[in-house]
Amino acid sequence: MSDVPADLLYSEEHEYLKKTETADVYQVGITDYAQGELGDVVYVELPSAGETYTRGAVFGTVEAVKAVSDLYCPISGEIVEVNASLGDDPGKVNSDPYGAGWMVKIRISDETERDTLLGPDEYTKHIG
Amino acid sequence: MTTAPDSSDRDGGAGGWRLIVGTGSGAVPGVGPVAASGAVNMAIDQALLESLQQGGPPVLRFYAWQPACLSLGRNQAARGLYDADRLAAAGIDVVRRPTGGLAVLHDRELTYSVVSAPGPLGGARAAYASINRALVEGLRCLGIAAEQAAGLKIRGPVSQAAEPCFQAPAAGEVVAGGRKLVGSAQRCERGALLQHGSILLSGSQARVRDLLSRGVAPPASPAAPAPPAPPAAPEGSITLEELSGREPDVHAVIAAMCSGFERTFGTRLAPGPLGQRENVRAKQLVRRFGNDEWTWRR
Repeated sequence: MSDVPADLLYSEEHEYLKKTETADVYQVGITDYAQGELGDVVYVELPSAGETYTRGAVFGTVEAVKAVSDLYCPISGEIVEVNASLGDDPGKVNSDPYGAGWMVKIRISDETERDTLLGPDEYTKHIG
Repeated sequence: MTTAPDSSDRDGGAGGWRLIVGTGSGAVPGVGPVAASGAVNMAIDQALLESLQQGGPPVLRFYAWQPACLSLGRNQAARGLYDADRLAAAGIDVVRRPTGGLAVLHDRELTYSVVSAPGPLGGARAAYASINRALVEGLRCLGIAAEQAAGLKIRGPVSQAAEPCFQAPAAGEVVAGGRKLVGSAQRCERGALLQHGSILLSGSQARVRDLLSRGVAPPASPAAPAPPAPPAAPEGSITLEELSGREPDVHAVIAAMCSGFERTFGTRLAPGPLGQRENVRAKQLVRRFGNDEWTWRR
């Protein structure tokens, strides 16, 4: 059974959005369900701070053993911080996807886009 | 990222597959020249992936490589590990794949690629397993006792991995006598999956060792990290020639593999050429895959 925390928002592509201490900055990573589907993560390719992405744009890739998958930005905004520690330890994505395995922090440019993301109940139904 | 819930109809839900051989440009529908350059082969696979995203049916493709080519995994290190001068001197091309995994020397082999939506195959991981089952089934048609490996776990980031693909089988890969016969890699993007892999016909993957260097491979980068130590030659691979005692006929192998895929996925393969849009897109993509900035990006 995948962990779907109640205080997060989710995209249909299995990225999550988590509040930070800064009002308009959110933490982004892939969900527990997604990391389980991928298997052991061996590489995460992330953007640089300062880059901007629109919702749905590819902001990086994640590679499990043999398989590369794109990462899609769940919300439009500017990357303000990248989890560089995943370079040495990409396995954090598997062991702690909502904590140490976070990928980027993004300053969102359009608050209303959050309304189009899935809540925990909707995401739970989505992953069936 | 793109993934899909499990399906109860993993092997039977993907009917109506296309079959493309080589560049798909021959006079006989679906039977073009089998071999092409690394950049052309990667461009056609990527063009087929994009075609499926626009509503096309699943595709099974077979091809070979001319000239011989070292392919790199999308995210693996190459600068400082592989020597471009040695590659050129040996007449070996180099290309970086869109898929994951590690380096493969494509010479005397048959390559397969599958393009499909992951959902009908039960998701990306289930697709990996079922495609490998189809390969095993095809090999059995040739009288080869192949099976799927229990596998070894790869540890550490792939970006720092120096061992070639055929050094050891990953879980689920196709082996014979405990040695790796088919090495595969996968990419998922926007609801589509590409999996391709090398079926070793003859020759030796140990040649990969000769392409390694402690020197710097061009283009040199001031930001390039210190080169990792070269790995030992891959000893874990085996070829169809070793298993059957004779040089395999590539068209017989293709026919056997087609049978394996038709049985496993409950489909009838329809031979045909690349579409006009796919040809145009592939020609555009050749520039990307033939670009040194992409090939030596890491």
